[in-house]
Amino acid sequence: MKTKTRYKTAMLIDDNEIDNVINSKMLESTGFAKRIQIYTNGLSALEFFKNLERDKYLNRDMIPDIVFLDINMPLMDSFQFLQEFGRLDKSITKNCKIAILTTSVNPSDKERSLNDKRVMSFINKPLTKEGLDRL
Amino acid sequence: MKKLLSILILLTLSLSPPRGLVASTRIDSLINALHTARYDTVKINILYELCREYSASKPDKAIKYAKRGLIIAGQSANRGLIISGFNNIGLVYRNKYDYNQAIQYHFQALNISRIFKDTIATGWSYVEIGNDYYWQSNYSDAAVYYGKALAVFKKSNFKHGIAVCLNNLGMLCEKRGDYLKAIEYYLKTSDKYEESGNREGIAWCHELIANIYMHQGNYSGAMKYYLLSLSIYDDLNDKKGIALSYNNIGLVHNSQGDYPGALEYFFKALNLFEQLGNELKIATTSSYIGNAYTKKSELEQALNYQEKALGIREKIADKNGLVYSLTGIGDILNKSGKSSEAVKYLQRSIEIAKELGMKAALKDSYECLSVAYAQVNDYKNAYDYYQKYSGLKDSLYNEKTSGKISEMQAIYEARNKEKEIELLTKEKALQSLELKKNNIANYALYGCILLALILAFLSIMGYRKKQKANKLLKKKVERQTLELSESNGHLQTEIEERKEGENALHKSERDYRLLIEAMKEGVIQVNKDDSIQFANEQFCKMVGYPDNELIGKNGAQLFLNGIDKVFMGEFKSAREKGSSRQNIVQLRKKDGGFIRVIISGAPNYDEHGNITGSTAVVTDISKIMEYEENLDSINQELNAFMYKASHDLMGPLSSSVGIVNMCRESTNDKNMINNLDMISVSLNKLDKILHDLIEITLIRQGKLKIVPVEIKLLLEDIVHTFGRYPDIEKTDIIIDNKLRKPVMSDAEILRIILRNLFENALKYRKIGARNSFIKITAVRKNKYIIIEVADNGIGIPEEHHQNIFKMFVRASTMSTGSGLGLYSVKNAVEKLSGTIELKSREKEGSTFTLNLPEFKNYN
Repeated sequence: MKTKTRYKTAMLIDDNEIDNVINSKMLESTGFAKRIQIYTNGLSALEFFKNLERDKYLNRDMIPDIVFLDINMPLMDSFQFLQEFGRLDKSITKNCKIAILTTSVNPSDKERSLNDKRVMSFINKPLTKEGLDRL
Repeated sequence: MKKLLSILILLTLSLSPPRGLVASTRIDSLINALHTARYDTVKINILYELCREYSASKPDKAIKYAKRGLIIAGQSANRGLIISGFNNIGLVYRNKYDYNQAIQYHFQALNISRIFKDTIATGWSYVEIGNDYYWQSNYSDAAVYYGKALAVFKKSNFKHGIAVCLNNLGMLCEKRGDYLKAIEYYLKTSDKYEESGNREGIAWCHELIANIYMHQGNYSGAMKYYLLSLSIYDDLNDKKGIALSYNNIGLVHNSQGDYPGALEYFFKALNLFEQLGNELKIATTSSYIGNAYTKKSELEQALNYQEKALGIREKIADKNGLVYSLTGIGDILNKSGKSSEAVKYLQRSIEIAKELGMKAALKDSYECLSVAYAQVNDYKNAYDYYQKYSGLKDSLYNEKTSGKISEMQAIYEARNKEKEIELLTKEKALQSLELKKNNIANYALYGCILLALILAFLSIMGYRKKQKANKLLKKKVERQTLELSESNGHLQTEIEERKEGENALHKSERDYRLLIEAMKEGVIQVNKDDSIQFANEQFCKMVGYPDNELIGKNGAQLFLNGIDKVFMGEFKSAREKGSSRQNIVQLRKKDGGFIRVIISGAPNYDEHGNITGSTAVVTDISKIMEYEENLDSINQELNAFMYKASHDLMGPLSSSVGIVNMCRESTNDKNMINNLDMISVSLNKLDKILHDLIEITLIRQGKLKIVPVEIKLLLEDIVHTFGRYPDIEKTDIIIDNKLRKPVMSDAEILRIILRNLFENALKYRKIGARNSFIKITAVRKNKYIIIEVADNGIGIPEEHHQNIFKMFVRASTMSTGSGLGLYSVKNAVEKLSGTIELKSREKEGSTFTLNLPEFKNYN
């Protein structure tokens, strides 16, 4: 295990729990992030951000440096999530990078995702060491 | 004879026999019928019937009726009635003694019959022309035409016609004095009638034969044939026929001097005629009775019957008969010593006979009057009338003689014309000798042989001169007739051609109508103002209007909504420039609903080339559109399903790959690592297949997104993605880009194509070869982008070239792919409306050449 990590906190939003296990292991094993938060749907993740917004005394370290976001999820897909995410207080969102992590190979998905300026990367699953290096 | 022939003519035209005085009421009923007649055929027949009724009394009126009928017949193109129309008019002219006109009309009938190839009508026309010549006393020409008719009828084995021709030829012979030949013809005629079962005809022939015997003074022969015909009439219960036979038999008895026998038959006949109410015949028979009584010297009875006859003849204005009655009464009065009374009768008789040109009767009247004057001691008048009598007698004799000579001449002329007549002439020659003997005997009797001979000689000379002039005249007439008939022929041919054209036109029109009605498509015809002129059943069904509601309505306003009106307006103006076009519009149905149709229209022109409107074929595509939409949505569903399925498989797959990677990270067990690698290979293969499937669904489903593409960059990127391909460094990869400007195309699709081709080239290198290369060239050529991907790999065997682009085809055992690579290339190329070509030789390498059109605009 590498001691030096790239990010303090990473967040995984994916309805596929197996993927979440694999991806968190991958992030850990490569020393990508020290702390990993996992949400299985966009709504609960969004609620977390909204709580941060309301309660100013909450630890700002809790704000993830990078969010790995799946596209196709129940209740709320990545695009809806990003829309809501955009309405949050800038203080919370300004240092939060977003990477789309999906199995979709549809170019339109890729294009649409990258059109959002908060999205820094579009990665196909599975998450690999090389993929993380390219970030 | 004239009467007989006219009956015959009437027979040929299947007319009813003349009805004498009943005629006027019949004419009235015919005219009534004419006013109520609905059908042309009925009308024409009535008009012709009227023509025949009037033909004797008012020929001009008769011709008018016939011409009216002819016009209607012409309009309705009823050829049978046209022909009989001409024939009818010809007949009236013949009755008017205008033979040239008659011949002309009969020739018209002939021409039409020939044109229509109606053999029977042709035959009858020949017969009519023959009859015309017969009445004109042109016996040689008559014989020619009867012969032609006979030939025509024989060809079609028309027995009735044959019989009529034979009969007429017989009459012709009789006219020429060739009695033997005439009898022969009559017997043949009788045979023909026997074949066709026409018993009246047989009786008729027997009568003709008997007449000849009678004329020759062969009374037993005459009696035999009259009795034969009587028995037939008896069988047929034909009272008129029976009565006529009785009269004939009576005349035979009379001629033999058996007056009581004659009277017996005459009374029988009279009785029957009285039953029949036939006044003409009652008069005739009464006259016969009177004559018989006169011969018997029972003058009172004789006078009774002659006066009865006279009364009837006065009543029915039978002038011919009057002459005989008046003379008969004069004779009786002479014989009973009342000559002063006789003079009155005889003078009137002479007056009428002169008027009618009845020379023989006039001669008898002169004789009688001379006797009457002698008896009243007026010798001067007696002498005068005797002179007149003998002069007339001589001239009659001369006429008879010269007539006979001219007939002989005619026979010689006709020699070449007809074979049958040739035979006839030989017999004629023999007979003429007999005739001459008779003549000499007669001259001797008058004691002026020499004078008569000179007279005869002079008359022959005169006749010859006349004959010559006649010949010239005849030739002229013939030539003119020929020219006339020729020009008629031309005219008829023209009419026929036009008619044929018209018929063809009618036929094609009918065919088109049938076609239009049978079509599944609607057909609608509008004039320039969009007013509907015609709509077929199918169109009416389509829009739910009955046919009669549509005609005259404005099509555009009735069926089109706003946008389509504009649309059709443009369409119409283009159409008016003469182009025919197709358009898809919606039509408003009667129930307010809409149907979607394809309208293909073309302009209509009049004969001057002006546009009169347009005809459109309307195809209901509502169903097709529905199906198409259905099909489209099914296709889309299928694509979406495939995409979704592949995509959903992708998730677990990537999870598995992730887990395998995770396992590898957390173990050092070499066995485990080996196994995990094997799982990895399988999973990668699966991943590749899923990627290919998704790619294909994306190619097929997605819309083209045209952007400027830097081919060089794209290729470099692709090559770069294969950076980790095993031994890639051993292959010489050459990118030869001759494109200076970016290509307008869909980048993703181009990428799919080029990546697949590059990957194939890489995959099928020659193992261990040192000079492996992949060369990609891109050039622009005539607005096309040509990209060539060439390698010197293992190549593709010729037999696989056909199938290489098909789904799941793997041409090599070395293939590790899904068999979808080139299939998706093909799909992608087609998506870009391009083509792809393969040139390859086994073990030498392959070259794929792309030919892609460049797009003009973004999207």
